[in-house]
Amino acid sequence: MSAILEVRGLEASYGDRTVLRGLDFEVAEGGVTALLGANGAGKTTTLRAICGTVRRRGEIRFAGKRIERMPTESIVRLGIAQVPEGRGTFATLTTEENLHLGAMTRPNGRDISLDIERCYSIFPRLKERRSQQAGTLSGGEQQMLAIARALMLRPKLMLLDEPSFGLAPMITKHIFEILAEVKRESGVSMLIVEQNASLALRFADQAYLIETGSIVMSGEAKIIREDEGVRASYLGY
Amino acid sequence: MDLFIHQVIAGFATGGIYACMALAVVMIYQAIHHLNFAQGEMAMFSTYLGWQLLAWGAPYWAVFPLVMAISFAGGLAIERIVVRPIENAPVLSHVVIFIALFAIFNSAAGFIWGFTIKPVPSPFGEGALYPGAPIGKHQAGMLVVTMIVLSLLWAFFRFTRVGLSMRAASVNPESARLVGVRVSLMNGLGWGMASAIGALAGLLIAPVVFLEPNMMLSILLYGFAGAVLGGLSSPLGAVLGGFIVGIVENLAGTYIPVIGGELKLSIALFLIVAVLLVKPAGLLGRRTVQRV
Repeated sequence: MSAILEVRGLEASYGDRTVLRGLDFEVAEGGVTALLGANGAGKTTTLRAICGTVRRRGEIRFAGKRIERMPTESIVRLGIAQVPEGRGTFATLTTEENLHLGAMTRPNGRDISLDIERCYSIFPRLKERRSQQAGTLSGGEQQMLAIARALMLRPKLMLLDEPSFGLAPMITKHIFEILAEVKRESGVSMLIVEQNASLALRFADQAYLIETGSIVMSGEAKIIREDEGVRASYLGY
Repeated sequence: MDLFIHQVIAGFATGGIYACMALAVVMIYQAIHHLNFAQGEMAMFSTYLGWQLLAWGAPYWAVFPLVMAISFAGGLAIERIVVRPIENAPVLSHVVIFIALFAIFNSAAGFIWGFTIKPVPSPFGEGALYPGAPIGKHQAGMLVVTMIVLSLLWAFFRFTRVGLSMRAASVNPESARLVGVRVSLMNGLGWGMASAIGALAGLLIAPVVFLEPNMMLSILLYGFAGAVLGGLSSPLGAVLGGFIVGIVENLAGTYIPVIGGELKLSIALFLIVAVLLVKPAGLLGRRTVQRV
Protein backbone atom coordinates (compact mmCIF):
# COMPACT_ATOMS: atom_id res chain seq x y z
CA MET A 1 0.00 0.00 0.00
CA SER A 2 1.43 3.37 -0.97
CA ALA A 3 1.35 6.36 1.37
CA ILE A 4 -0.94 9.29 0.67
CA LEU A 5 0.80 11.35 3.33
CA GLU A 6 4.51 11.10 4.13
CA VAL A 7 6.04 13.21 6.85
CA ARG A 8 9.81 13.39 7.37
CA GLY A 9 11.62 15.31 10.08
CA LEU A 10 8.67 17.50 10.93
CA GLU A 11 9.47 20.28 13.37
CA ALA A 12 7.15 22.97 14.63
CA SER A 13 7.27 25.71 17.20
CA TYR A 14 5.16 28.42 18.75
CA GLY A 15 7.46 31.37 19.09
CA ASP A 16 10.50 30.12 20.99
CA ARG A 17 8.84 26.97 22.18
CA THR A 18 9.64 23.92 20.07
CA VAL A 19 6.76 21.49 20.11
CA LEU A 20 7.67 18.94 17.45
CA ARG A 21 11.21 17.58 17.25
CA GLY A 22 11.51 15.73 13.99
CA LEU A 23 8.52 13.46 13.48
CA ASP A 24 8.45 10.76 10.78
CA PHE A 25 5.19 9.08 9.97
CA GLU A 26 2.92 8.00 7.14
CA VAL A 27 -0.74 7.59 6.32
CA ALA A 28 -1.47 4.79 3.88
CA GLU A 29 -3.78 5.39 0.93
CA GLY A 30 -7.24 4.45 2.19
CA GLY A 31 -5.90 3.68 5.65
CA VAL A 32 -6.33 5.09 9.10
CA THR A 33 -3.34 6.23 11.12
CA ALA A 34 -3.67 7.21 14.75
CA LEU A 35 -1.42 9.57 16.64
CA LEU A 36 -1.56 8.84 20.33
CA GLY A 37 -0.07 10.53 23.31
CA ALA A 38 -0.78 12.49 26.43
CA ASN A 39 -1.95 16.06 26.62
CA GLY A 40 0.71 18.42 25.32
CA ALA A 41 2.65 15.72 23.46
CA GLY A 42 2.25 17.65 20.18
CA LYS A 43 -0.60 15.76 18.50
CA THR A 44 -2.72 18.76 17.66
CA THR A 45 0.34 20.69 16.58
CA THR A 46 1.15 17.88 14.15
CA LEU A 47 -2.22 18.34 12.44
CA ARG A 48 -1.76 22.10 12.44
CA ALA A 49 1.65 21.70 10.88
CA ILE A 50 0.24 19.57 8.06
CA CYS A 51 -2.40 22.22 7.32
CA GLY A 52 0.08 25.05 7.69
CA THR A 53 -1.64 26.89 10.52
CA VAL A 54 1.54 26.75 12.58
CA ARG A 55 5.10 27.45 11.50
CA ARG A 56 6.81 24.21 10.48
CA ARG A 57 9.99 22.75 8.99
CA GLY A 58 10.69 19.38 7.47
CA GLU A 59 9.18 17.49 4.60
CA ILE A 60 5.47 16.87 4.10
CA ARG A 61 4.37 15.04 0.98
CA PHE A 62 0.73 14.67 0.06
CA ALA A 63 0.06 12.32 -2.86
CA GLY A 64 3.72 12.74 -3.79
CA LYS A 65 3.57 16.52 -3.77
CA ARG A 66 5.56 18.69 -1.34
CA ILE A 67 3.14 20.84 0.64
CA GLU A 68 5.22 22.17 3.53
CA ARG A 69 5.55 25.60 1.96
CA MET A 70 1.99 26.00 0.79
CA PRO A 71 -0.52 28.31 2.49
CA THR A 72 -3.43 26.63 4.27
CA GLU A 73 -5.99 27.61 1.63
CA SER A 74 -4.01 25.84 -1.10
CA ILE A 75 -3.48 22.73 1.01
CA VAL A 76 -7.22 22.49 1.54
CA ARG A 77 -7.72 22.69 -2.21
CA LEU A 78 -5.61 19.55 -2.64
CA GLY A 79 -8.23 17.63 -0.67
CA ILE A 80 -7.07 17.72 2.94
CA ALA A 81 -9.94 18.40 5.32
CA GLN A 82 -9.33 19.06 8.96
CA VAL A 83 -11.88 18.48 11.69
CA PRO A 84 -10.39 20.85 14.24
CA GLU A 85 -10.07 20.34 17.96
CA GLY A 86 -13.08 21.70 19.81
CA ARG A 87 -14.92 21.30 16.47
CA GLY A 88 -14.29 24.81 15.15
CA THR A 89 -17.80 25.35 13.82
CA PHE A 90 -18.95 28.75 12.64
CA ALA A 91 -21.08 29.44 15.70
CA THR A 92 -23.30 32.23 14.42
CA LEU A 93 -23.92 30.66 11.02
CA THR A 94 -26.57 28.03 10.45
CA THR A 95 -25.86 24.33 10.18
CA GLU A 96 -26.53 24.42 6.47
CA GLU A 97 -24.28 27.43 5.94
CA ASN A 98 -21.53 25.57 7.78
CA LEU A 99 -21.93 22.68 5.34
CA HIS A 100 -21.85 25.02 2.35
CA LEU A 101 -18.59 26.44 3.66
CA GLY A 102 -17.08 22.97 3.68
CA ALA A 103 -17.50 22.90 -0.09
CA MET A 104 -16.23 26.44 -0.61
CA THR A 105 -13.24 25.35 -2.67
CA ARG A 106 -15.35 23.27 -5.04
CA PRO A 107 -17.03 24.82 -8.07
CA ASN A 108 -20.56 25.90 -7.30
CA GLY A 109 -23.08 23.43 -8.62
CA ARG A 110 -25.84 20.97 -8.05
CA ASP A 111 -23.63 18.24 -6.61
CA ILE A 112 -23.01 20.45 -3.58
CA SER A 113 -26.70 20.31 -2.66
CA LEU A 114 -26.62 16.57 -3.34
CA ASP A 115 -23.68 16.20 -0.97
CA ILE A 116 -25.51 18.20 1.67
CA GLU A 117 -28.42 15.79 1.36
CA ARG A 118 -25.95 12.93 1.69
CA CYS A 119 -24.57 14.45 4.89
CA TYR A 120 -28.12 14.74 6.18
CA SER A 121 -28.71 11.08 5.48
CA ILE A 122 -25.56 10.17 7.42
CA PHE A 123 -26.44 12.57 10.24
CA PRO A 124 -30.24 12.92 10.39
CA ARG A 125 -29.86 15.09 13.47
CA LEU A 126 -28.19 17.77 11.40
CA LYS A 127 -31.14 17.87 9.04
CA GLU A 128 -33.42 18.68 11.97
CA ARG A 129 -31.04 21.48 12.90
CA ARG A 130 -30.38 22.73 9.39
CA SER A 131 -31.47 26.34 9.95
CA GLN A 132 -30.32 26.57 13.55
CA GLN A 133 -27.18 28.48 14.51
CA ALA A 134 -24.31 26.02 14.87
CA GLY A 135 -23.35 27.48 18.24
CA THR A 136 -26.66 26.34 19.71
CA LEU A 137 -26.08 22.68 18.79
CA SER A 138 -25.09 20.15 21.42
CA GLY A 139 -21.48 18.97 21.64
CA GLY A 140 -22.22 15.74 19.80
CA GLU A 141 -24.15 17.54 17.08
CA GLN A 142 -21.33 20.03 16.63
CA GLN A 143 -18.87 17.17 16.25
CA MET A 144 -21.15 15.62 13.63
CA LEU A 145 -21.33 18.98 11.90
CA ALA A 146 -17.55 19.31 11.91
CA ILE A 147 -17.20 15.88 10.33
CA ALA A 148 -19.96 16.55 7.82
CA ARG A 149 -18.36 19.85 6.90
CA ALA A 150 -15.08 18.09 6.26
CA LEU A 151 -16.87 15.54 4.06
CA MET A 152 -18.30 18.38 1.98
CA LEU A 153 -14.82 18.94 0.61
CA ARG A 154 -14.86 15.38 -0.80
CA PRO A 155 -11.48 15.00 0.86
CA LYS A 156 -8.76 12.52 0.01
CA LEU A 157 -7.41 12.82 3.53
CA MET A 158 -9.25 13.72 6.70
CA LEU A 159 -7.40 15.00 9.74
CA LEU A 160 -9.44 14.37 12.84
CA ASP A 161 -8.48 16.14 16.04
CA GLU A 162 -9.92 14.43 19.14
CA PRO A 163 -13.32 13.46 17.76
CA SER A 164 -14.22 12.16 21.24
CA PHE A 165 -13.46 15.54 22.84
CA GLY A 166 -15.97 16.34 25.55
CA LEU A 167 -18.51 13.78 24.43
CA ALA A 168 -20.41 11.15 26.38
CA PRO A 169 -19.19 7.58 25.71
CA MET A 170 -22.39 6.65 23.87
CA ILE A 171 -22.06 9.56 21.49
CA THR A 172 -18.36 8.93 20.99
CA LYS A 173 -19.16 5.36 20.03
CA HIS A 174 -21.76 6.58 17.54
CA ILE A 175 -19.31 9.06 16.02
CA PHE A 176 -16.70 6.35 15.53
CA GLU A 177 -19.25 4.01 13.95
CA ILE A 178 -20.09 6.73 11.49
CA LEU A 179 -16.42 7.42 10.76
CA ALA A 180 -15.94 3.72 10.02
CA GLU A 181 -18.92 3.80 7.69
CA VAL A 182 -17.66 6.93 5.93
CA LYS A 183 -14.30 5.24 5.43
CA ARG A 184 -15.88 2.09 4.01
CA GLU A 185 -18.04 4.08 1.61
CA SER A 186 -15.68 6.75 0.35
CA GLY A 187 -12.30 5.12 0.92
CA VAL A 188 -10.99 8.38 2.38
CA SER A 189 -7.70 8.14 4.26
CA MET A 190 -7.65 9.40 7.83
CA LEU A 191 -5.15 10.69 10.31
CA ILE A 192 -6.69 10.71 13.73
CA VAL A 193 -5.43 12.23 16.93
CA GLU A 194 -6.88 10.82 20.14
CA GLN A 195 -6.38 10.76 23.85
CA ASN A 196 -8.74 7.86 24.10
CA ALA A 197 -6.15 5.32 22.99
CA SER A 198 -8.20 2.14 23.23
CA LEU A 199 -10.88 3.64 21.01
CA ALA A 200 -8.40 4.94 18.47
CA LEU A 201 -6.45 1.68 18.34
CA ARG A 202 -9.56 -0.28 17.48
CA PHE A 203 -10.36 2.10 14.67
CA ALA A 204 -6.88 2.61 13.19
CA ASP A 205 -4.62 0.38 11.07
CA GLN A 206 -1.36 2.07 12.03
CA ALA A 207 -0.48 3.93 15.17
CA TYR A 208 2.29 6.21 16.37
CA LEU A 209 2.96 7.15 19.95
CA ILE A 210 4.16 10.69 20.55
CA GLU A 211 5.86 11.89 23.67
CA THR A 212 7.02 15.50 24.07
CA GLY A 213 7.29 16.07 20.35
CA SER A 214 9.01 12.83 19.34
CA ILE A 215 7.72 9.50 18.19
CA VAL A 216 8.54 6.84 20.76
CA MET A 217 6.81 3.91 19.16
CA SER A 218 5.06 2.94 15.98
CA GLY A 219 3.49 -0.09 14.40
CA GLU A 220 0.30 -1.83 13.51
CA ALA A 221 -2.57 -0.74 15.70
CA LYS A 222 -3.62 -4.23 16.71
CA ILE A 223 -0.11 -5.17 17.78
CA ILE A 224 0.27 -2.04 19.87
CA ARG A 225 -3.15 -2.65 21.34
CA GLU A 226 -2.15 -6.07 22.56
CA ASP A 227 1.25 -5.11 23.91
CA GLU A 228 0.93 -5.19 27.68
CA GLY A 229 4.07 -3.12 28.26
CA VAL A 230 2.98 -0.33 25.94
CA ARG A 231 -0.45 -0.36 27.41
CA ALA A 232 0.83 0.00 30.95
CA SER A 233 3.48 2.63 30.31
CA TYR A 234 1.95 4.81 27.61
CA LEU A 235 -1.73 4.24 27.19
CA GLY A 236 -2.81 3.93 30.78
CA TYR A 237 -5.77 1.63 30.50
CA MET B 1 -49.02 63.60 17.20
CA ASP B 2 -48.36 64.92 13.74
CA LEU B 3 -45.17 66.51 14.90
CA PHE B 4 -44.12 63.23 16.47
CA ILE B 5 -44.71 61.26 13.26
CA HIS B 6 -42.93 63.93 11.22
CA GLN B 7 -39.93 63.77 13.49
CA VAL B 8 -39.82 59.98 13.37
CA ILE B 9 -39.92 59.96 9.58
CA ALA B 10 -37.25 62.64 9.38
CA GLY B 11 -35.24 60.60 11.89
CA PHE B 12 -35.53 57.61 9.62
CA ALA B 13 -34.01 59.55 6.72
CA THR B 14 -30.90 60.65 8.63
CA GLY B 15 -30.92 57.30 10.43
CA GLY B 16 -30.28 55.65 7.07
CA ILE B 17 -27.04 57.60 6.80
CA TYR B 18 -26.02 56.66 10.34
CA ALA B 19 -26.94 53.08 9.54
CA CYS B 20 -24.53 53.14 6.58
CA MET B 21 -21.72 54.55 8.71
CA ALA B 22 -22.47 52.09 11.50
CA LEU B 23 -22.41 49.24 9.00
CA ALA B 24 -19.09 50.44 7.58
CA VAL B 25 -17.64 50.61 11.09
CA VAL B 26 -18.88 47.12 11.93
CA MET B 27 -17.61 45.58 8.71
CA ILE B 28 -14.09 46.74 9.45
CA TYR B 29 -14.47 45.85 13.12
CA GLN B 30 -15.43 42.33 12.07
CA ALA B 31 -12.35 42.05 9.92
CA ILE B 32 -9.70 43.47 12.26
CA HIS B 33 -11.43 43.91 15.64
CA HIS B 34 -10.58 47.56 15.89
CA LEU B 35 -12.72 50.63 15.41
CA ASN B 36 -11.55 52.57 12.40
CA PHE B 37 -12.03 56.19 13.34
CA ALA B 38 -10.69 57.34 10.00
CA GLN B 39 -13.87 55.89 8.48
CA GLY B 40 -15.58 59.30 8.41
CA GLU B 41 -12.60 61.01 6.81
CA MET B 42 -12.40 58.31 4.15
CA ALA B 43 -16.07 58.92 3.40
CA MET B 44 -15.51 62.67 3.35
CA PHE B 45 -12.66 62.29 0.86
CA SER B 46 -14.87 60.14 -1.35
CA THR B 47 -17.54 62.81 -1.18
CA TYR B 48 -15.04 65.41 -2.39
CA LEU B 49 -14.14 63.15 -5.28
CA GLY B 50 -17.83 63.04 -6.14
CA TRP B 51 -18.12 66.81 -5.86
CA GLN B 52 -15.09 67.22 -8.15
CA LEU B 53 -16.60 64.91 -10.77
CA LEU B 54 -19.88 66.83 -10.57
CA ALA B 55 -18.01 70.10 -10.94
CA TRP B 56 -16.39 68.74 -14.07
CA GLY B 57 -19.87 68.15 -15.42
CA ALA B 58 -20.38 64.43 -14.88
CA PRO B 59 -24.03 63.43 -14.44
CA TYR B 60 -25.02 62.69 -10.85
CA TRP B 61 -26.09 59.11 -11.46
CA ALA B 62 -22.79 58.26 -13.08
CA VAL B 63 -20.86 59.91 -10.25
CA PHE B 64 -22.56 57.77 -7.64
CA PRO B 65 -21.45 54.31 -8.77
CA LEU B 66 -18.11 55.63 -10.00
CA VAL B 67 -17.21 57.17 -6.64
CA MET B 68 -18.33 54.03 -4.86
CA ALA B 69 -16.11 51.93 -7.13
CA ILE B 70 -13.12 54.23 -6.58
CA SER B 71 -13.73 54.14 -2.83
CA PHE B 72 -13.91 50.36 -2.91
CA ALA B 73 -10.52 50.21 -4.61
CA GLY B 74 -9.18 52.80 -2.18
CA GLY B 75 -10.38 50.87 0.86
CA LEU B 76 -8.89 47.67 -0.49
CA ALA B 77 -5.60 49.47 -1.14
CA ILE B 78 -5.51 50.91 2.39
CA GLU B 79 -6.03 47.43 3.80
CA ARG B 80 -3.27 45.94 1.64
CA ILE B 81 -0.75 48.75 2.12
CA VAL B 82 -1.09 49.93 5.72
CA VAL B 83 -3.38 47.62 7.70
CA ARG B 84 -2.23 44.20 6.49
CA PRO B 85 1.44 44.67 7.49
CA ILE B 86 0.48 45.43 11.11
CA GLU B 87 -2.06 42.62 11.33
CA ASN B 88 -0.59 41.15 14.50
CA ALA B 89 0.66 44.38 16.01
CA PRO B 90 -0.71 45.65 19.34
CA VAL B 91 -3.78 47.86 19.57
CA LEU B 92 -1.75 51.05 19.83
CA SER B 93 -0.20 50.52 16.40
CA HIS B 94 -3.67 50.34 14.95
CA VAL B 95 -4.73 53.46 16.78
CA VAL B 96 -1.71 55.32 15.41
CA ILE B 97 -2.47 54.14 11.88
CA PHE B 98 -6.07 55.31 12.18
CA ILE B 99 -5.00 58.71 13.51
CA ALA B 100 -2.57 58.97 10.62
CA LEU B 101 -5.24 58.06 8.08
CA PHE B 102 -7.58 60.56 9.71
CA ALA B 103 -5.02 63.36 9.50
CA ILE B 104 -3.93 62.47 5.98
CA PHE B 105 -7.42 62.45 4.50
CA ASN B 106 -8.50 65.51 6.42
CA SER B 107 -5.53 67.65 5.40
CA ALA B 108 -5.37 66.25 1.89
CA ALA B 109 -8.99 67.27 1.31
CA GLY B 110 -8.30 70.72 2.73
CA PHE B 111 -5.13 71.05 0.68
CA ILE B 112 -6.74 70.01 -2.60
CA TRP B 113 -10.19 71.53 -2.28
CA GLY B 114 -9.80 74.18 0.43
CA PHE B 115 -11.51 74.48 3.80
CA THR B 116 -14.38 76.69 2.67
CA ILE B 117 -17.80 75.15 2.92
CA LYS B 118 -19.25 74.11 -0.43
CA PRO B 119 -22.92 73.56 -1.15
CA VAL B 120 -23.72 70.31 -2.92
CA PRO B 121 -26.83 70.10 -5.08
CA SER B 122 -29.29 67.34 -4.31
CA PRO B 123 -30.01 64.87 -7.09
CA PHE B 124 -33.54 64.57 -5.79
CA GLY B 125 -34.39 68.27 -5.92
CA GLU B 126 -35.17 70.88 -3.28
CA GLY B 127 -38.24 71.44 -1.18
CA ALA B 128 -40.86 69.22 0.39
CA LEU B 129 -41.72 65.85 -1.10
CA TYR B 130 -45.26 67.15 -1.67
CA PRO B 131 -46.95 70.23 -0.20
CA GLY B 132 -47.18 69.71 3.54
CA ALA B 133 -45.06 66.54 3.51
CA PRO B 134 -43.13 65.69 6.66
CA ILE B 135 -39.86 65.28 4.77
CA GLY B 136 -38.11 66.94 1.87
CA LYS B 137 -37.44 65.42 -1.53
CA HIS B 138 -33.82 64.95 -0.66
CA GLN B 139 -34.52 63.14 2.60
CA ALA B 140 -36.99 60.85 0.85
CA GLY B 141 -34.47 60.07 -1.87
CA MET B 142 -31.79 59.47 0.74
CA LEU B 143 -34.02 57.00 2.55
CA VAL B 144 -34.92 55.12 -0.64
CA VAL B 145 -31.32 54.84 -1.79
CA THR B 146 -30.02 53.68 1.59
CA MET B 147 -32.81 51.14 1.87
CA ILE B 148 -32.01 49.73 -1.56
CA VAL B 149 -28.30 49.52 -0.85
CA LEU B 150 -28.80 47.97 2.58
CA SER B 151 -31.16 45.35 1.11
CA LEU B 152 -28.66 44.53 -1.62
CA LEU B 153 -25.94 44.12 1.00
CA TRP B 154 -28.17 41.89 3.08
CA ALA B 155 -28.86 39.71 0.04
CA PHE B 156 -25.16 39.65 -0.77
CA PHE B 157 -24.22 38.36 2.68
CA ARG B 158 -27.15 36.01 2.86
CA PHE B 159 -27.17 34.41 -0.58
CA THR B 160 -23.77 34.62 -2.25
CA ARG B 161 -20.73 32.42 -1.71
CA VAL B 162 -18.43 35.41 -1.30
CA GLY B 163 -20.80 36.87 1.27
CA LEU B 164 -20.87 33.60 3.16
CA SER B 165 -17.07 33.37 3.03
CA MET B 166 -16.77 36.90 4.41
CA ARG B 167 -19.07 36.03 7.29
CA ALA B 168 -17.17 32.81 7.96
CA ALA B 169 -13.85 34.67 7.96
CA SER B 170 -15.10 37.08 10.59
CA VAL B 171 -16.80 34.47 12.81
CA ASN B 172 -13.90 32.03 12.91
CA PRO B 173 -10.83 32.93 10.86
CA GLU B 174 -8.93 29.74 11.65
CA SER B 175 -11.77 27.43 10.63
CA ALA B 176 -12.39 29.60 7.60
CA ARG B 177 -8.80 28.98 6.47
CA LEU B 178 -9.31 25.27 7.05
CA VAL B 179 -12.20 25.18 4.60
CA GLY B 180 -10.14 27.11 2.06
CA VAL B 181 -11.50 30.64 2.51
CA ARG B 182 -8.86 33.28 1.75
CA VAL B 183 -9.29 35.16 4.98
CA SER B 184 -6.94 38.02 4.20
CA LEU B 185 -8.65 38.64 0.86
CA MET B 186 -12.01 38.68 2.68
CA ASN B 187 -10.66 41.30 5.09
CA GLY B 188 -9.55 43.37 2.12
CA LEU B 189 -13.00 43.05 0.56
CA GLY B 190 -14.49 44.13 3.89
CA TRP B 191 -12.41 47.32 3.83
CA GLY B 192 -13.34 47.98 0.22
CA MET B 193 -17.03 47.52 0.85
CA ALA B 194 -16.95 49.60 4.04
CA SER B 195 -15.28 52.44 2.11
CA ALA B 196 -17.86 52.23 -0.65
CA ILE B 197 -20.72 52.31 1.86
CA GLY B 198 -19.08 55.27 3.60
CA ALA B 199 -18.82 57.04 0.24
CA LEU B 200 -22.51 56.46 -0.32
CA ALA B 201 -23.33 57.94 3.09
CA GLY B 202 -21.09 60.95 2.41
CA LEU B 203 -22.57 61.64 -1.02
CA LEU B 204 -26.11 61.40 0.31
CA ILE B 205 -25.59 63.56 3.39
CA ALA B 206 -23.45 66.22 1.68
CA PRO B 207 -26.42 68.27 0.43
CA VAL B 208 -27.72 68.40 4.01
CA VAL B 209 -24.57 69.17 6.01
CA PHE B 210 -22.61 70.87 3.18
CA LEU B 211 -19.20 69.83 2.02
CA GLU B 212 -16.14 70.61 4.13
CA PRO B 213 -13.26 68.54 5.49
CA ASN B 214 -14.91 68.04 8.90
CA MET B 215 -18.36 67.22 7.60
CA MET B 216 -18.28 63.54 8.64
CA LEU B 217 -17.09 64.03 12.23
CA SER B 218 -20.52 64.15 13.80
CA ILE B 219 -21.95 61.65 11.31
CA LEU B 220 -19.30 59.12 12.25
CA LEU B 221 -20.00 59.71 15.92
CA TYR B 222 -23.66 58.91 15.33
CA GLY B 223 -22.54 55.92 13.31
CA PHE B 224 -20.41 54.71 16.22
CA ALA B 225 -23.38 55.18 18.53
CA GLY B 226 -25.52 53.13 16.17
CA ALA B 227 -22.90 50.41 15.91
CA VAL B 228 -22.44 50.18 19.67
CA LEU B 229 -26.19 50.24 20.25
CA GLY B 230 -26.84 47.45 17.77
CA GLY B 231 -23.76 45.47 18.68
CA LEU B 232 -20.34 45.65 17.07
CA SER B 233 -20.52 41.97 16.16
CA SER B 234 -23.79 42.30 14.26
CA PRO B 235 -24.10 44.09 10.91
CA LEU B 236 -27.88 43.86 11.12
CA GLY B 237 -27.75 45.29 14.63
CA ALA B 238 -25.58 48.15 13.43
CA VAL B 239 -28.09 49.10 10.75
CA LEU B 240 -30.93 48.89 13.25
CA GLY B 241 -28.88 50.92 15.74
CA GLY B 242 -28.19 53.57 13.11
CA PHE B 243 -31.89 54.04 12.45
CA ILE B 244 -32.70 54.15 16.16
CA VAL B 245 -30.01 56.78 16.74
CA GLY B 246 -31.44 58.88 13.89
CA ILE B 247 -34.93 58.77 15.37
CA VAL B 248 -33.84 59.33 18.97
CA GLU B 249 -31.67 62.24 17.90
CA ASN B 250 -34.59 63.92 16.15
CA LEU B 251 -37.13 63.30 18.89
CA ALA B 252 -34.79 64.44 21.65
CA GLY B 253 -33.95 67.59 19.70
CA THR B 254 -37.65 68.36 19.36
CA TYR B 255 -39.12 67.38 22.69
CA ILE B 256 -36.37 68.05 25.20
CA PRO B 257 -36.07 71.83 25.09
CA VAL B 258 -32.65 71.96 26.70
CA ILE B 259 -31.13 69.88 23.96
CA GLY B 260 -32.40 71.79 20.93
CA GLY B 261 -30.11 71.78 17.95
CA GLU B 262 -26.86 72.47 19.77
CA LEU B 263 -26.67 69.59 22.17
CA LYS B 264 -27.87 66.94 19.73
CA LEU B 265 -24.42 65.50 19.29
CA SER B 266 -24.11 64.71 22.97
CA ILE B 267 -27.04 62.33 22.56
CA ALA B 268 -24.76 60.07 20.57
CA LEU B 269 -22.20 60.04 23.35
CA PHE B 270 -24.88 59.57 25.96
CA LEU B 271 -26.21 56.57 24.01
CA ILE B 272 -22.76 55.03 23.70
CA VAL B 273 -22.11 55.32 27.43
CA ALA B 274 -25.58 54.09 28.36
CA VAL B 275 -25.34 51.02 26.10
CA LEU B 276 -21.89 50.15 27.35
CA LEU B 277 -23.14 50.31 30.93
CA VAL B 278 -26.37 48.39 30.46
CA LYS B 279 -25.81 45.97 27.61
CA PRO B 280 -22.19 46.04 26.44
CA ALA B 281 -22.79 43.56 23.61
CA GLY B 282 -25.49 45.79 22.09
CA LEU B 283 -29.01 44.88 21.02
CA LEU B 284 -28.14 42.09 18.60
CA GLY B 285 -24.49 41.59 19.40
CA ARG B 286 -22.97 38.46 20.82
CA ARG B 287 -20.88 38.63 23.92
CA THR B 288 -17.46 37.31 23.02
CA VAL B 289 -16.12 34.65 25.28
CA GLN B 290 -12.48 33.88 24.89
CA ARG B 291 -11.10 30.49 25.74
CA VAL B 292 -7.72 30.65 27.39
